[in-house]
Amino acid sequence: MVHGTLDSWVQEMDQLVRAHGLTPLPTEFHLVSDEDIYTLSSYFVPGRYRHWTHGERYWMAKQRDEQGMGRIYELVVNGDPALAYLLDKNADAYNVLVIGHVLGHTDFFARNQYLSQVRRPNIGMWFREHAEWLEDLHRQRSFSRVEKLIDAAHTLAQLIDPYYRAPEFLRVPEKENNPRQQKSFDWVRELYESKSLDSGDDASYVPTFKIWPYTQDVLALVADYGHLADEERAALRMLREEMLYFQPQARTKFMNEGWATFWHVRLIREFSQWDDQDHIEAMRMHALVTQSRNFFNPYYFGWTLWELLYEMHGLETCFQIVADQTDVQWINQWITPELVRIAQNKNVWPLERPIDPEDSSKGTEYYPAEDLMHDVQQVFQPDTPEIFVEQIDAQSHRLDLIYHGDRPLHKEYTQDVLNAIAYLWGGDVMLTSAHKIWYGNEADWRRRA
Amino acid sequence: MDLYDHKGELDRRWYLKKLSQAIKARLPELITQEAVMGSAPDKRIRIAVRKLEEPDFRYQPRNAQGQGSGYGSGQDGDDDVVWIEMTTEEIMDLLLEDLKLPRLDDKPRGVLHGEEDRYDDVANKGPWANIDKRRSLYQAAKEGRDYLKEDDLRYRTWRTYPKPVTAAVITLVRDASGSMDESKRYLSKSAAWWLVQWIRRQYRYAEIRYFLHTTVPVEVDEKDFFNREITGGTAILSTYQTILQLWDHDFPHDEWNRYLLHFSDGDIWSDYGRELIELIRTLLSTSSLLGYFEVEGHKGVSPLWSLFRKSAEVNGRFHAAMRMAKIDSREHILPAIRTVIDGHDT
Repeated sequence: MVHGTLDSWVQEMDQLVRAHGLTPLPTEFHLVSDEDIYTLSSYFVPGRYRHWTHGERYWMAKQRDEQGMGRIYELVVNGDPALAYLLDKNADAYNVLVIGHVLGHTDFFARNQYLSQVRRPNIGMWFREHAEWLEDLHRQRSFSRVEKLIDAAHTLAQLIDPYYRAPEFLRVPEKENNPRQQKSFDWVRELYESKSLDSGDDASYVPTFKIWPYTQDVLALVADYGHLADEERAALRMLREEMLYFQPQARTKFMNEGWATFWHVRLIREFSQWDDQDHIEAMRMHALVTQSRNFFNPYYFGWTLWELLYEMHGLETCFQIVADQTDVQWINQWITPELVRIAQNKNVWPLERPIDPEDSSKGTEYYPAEDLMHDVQQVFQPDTPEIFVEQIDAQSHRLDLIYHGDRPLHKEYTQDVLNAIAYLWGGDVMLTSAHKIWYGNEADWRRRA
Repeated sequence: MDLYDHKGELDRRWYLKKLSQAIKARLPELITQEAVMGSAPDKRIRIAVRKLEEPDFRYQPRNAQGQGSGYGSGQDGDDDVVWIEMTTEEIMDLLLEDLKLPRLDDKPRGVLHGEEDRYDDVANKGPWANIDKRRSLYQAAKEGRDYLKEDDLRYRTWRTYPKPVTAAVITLVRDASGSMDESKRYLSKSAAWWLVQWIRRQYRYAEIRYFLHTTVPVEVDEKDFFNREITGGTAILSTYQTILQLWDHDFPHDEWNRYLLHFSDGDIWSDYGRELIELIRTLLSTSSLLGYFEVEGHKGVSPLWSLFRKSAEVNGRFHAAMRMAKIDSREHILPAIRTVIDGHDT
């Protein structure tokens, strides 16, 4: 039996954590029902806007739990204060472990430079405002119009860029004027001279071509210059803000989960308000969460990597990494053949690999450390094509995108995304690549089921 | 803490609505399975449907087989699949709800019901546009007021009346001759089963008549139609004669829409006479549809197929009542039904 109350557990955990030198964000703990945790874990934040993809995740979470295929134990929101939700039907011992885990997360939130840059105060209110705006939009426009708007915005999620700034439109350089002519025909020149660009004046809004700086952020561009109603612009900007909020979390997922696991392991060793039986229960849960059947389980992989780094470089280095890096940097900089060899000797990382991944009956062979390192780094390589906005033609309202890569783009999906962009842009959209030129078709997106 | 009541549940339904399109695409693979066929209408069936994905910019997968129709062979792991439970009834609704009997004309003494809305009722609640001013004022006047209160308002509303408009008889004929082997029987029975289910759902008051035929026709009931087997040669003249007699006796042309649906492998003696062609033409001109399903017929053109072609073509134009489709495997059943009932070309 676990002694004390939720308050006293949190208090003790907090003391333990601070003794280790962690500085978690102030954290609010909530005990919620399973129904609520399904909702929270599928929307990620309380009060977030409605969408069918969230409904899908909700359903999956519910199904998985009901079939005993896996339960969601906790949800933490990167806010100030951070919000943590614990499942009330869990055994007390589990929730004690989860408290430790959560404090690991909130410490990570507090340290990591990318996670500290996002908006954090009143986080629940912020998402709720967005949800209400979209809800109003549902009422003002039609439900399907807004559904398509959100769907279209979602297709552009991976192109958003926190450093986007509105492009400066570069006009095509005019012909050099002949200075002699200028002198004698000044009044003629004035007649024909194009006026300087004035954004407030529609008549002087001349077609412009190249845009600068180069940007990937089609969503921001479309929200600024697409043919949309002002409410829709605002809605797109809100969606983009939310994507920006979640982007660093997605990029530090393995570090973050690993860090929290690294700390809950230590914290449950030190926690005092329980019997041995509860400690064993908590260890069982830890074993369940870090099942190494799948090596790339973020809990397991992240945890073992942090343990190794702690052993090899000490805690201070770990704090430094948490503060500075993302998953990709972490993997590329710190996984060395030496580290992999130690991991293999400790038998925490696989020492053998199947000879033929297709056919397990052929047995296994030795997994060389260099290969394992290479494979791990391969998995974390970003696998999304880089699309850039090349030019905007203001007069014919055309948007040209360009893809310089040599791997061909997905046939159907690229067409769908182009249609989505055309739907938001309200004009011609073109994507040029070495293999194919795509044209967006607005009507196809509208017609889409 | 309010977590927005049951938002997750609402969005789950939204998602389900989007999925139903995907389910519809998946269903034709399932429909001839014994699980669906012949089961009770409220039996629940589990279907695996690939999760809906939002498109984004991504690379073309390197392996060629990754493309496909979107429904993998189950190699993708359980995470990509949603299990959906539906009743047989819901499945049939999804598949057949938009089918309509072709060339269904109004007949004076019909029993098939249309519906008619008549604004002849009064309600206390309703849309403002439907306020019945006279009655509302009357309510106020009854109490001696010259202004209206919320309670006085009366709204015009409608009631739905059944309106008998038409009548239909559907005659199903199944070839039970010796050339119909096990798989042909299976296919023709499945197709007939779907048709009967659909008719039952959409046209409750339609008459259905069943015939088996070899060289002679046998009128049977539904149970026998699906279960009884007889053997013999194949001739359709006598069958059509019998049906025409039955029709003319019980279901005269001017009071009934008459439908004939024939399942056969098309293997008949090819020395049919002039008489048969004339008979088919008579059938065509007095019925709404002569639908012919050829089950695992000849590779080329079967005698019966060419006979129908020949009979239906008058002055170079194909008779609108004549529709034919081939069923070579289970996947063809639904498209064939659609071809015949909807009249799209295969």
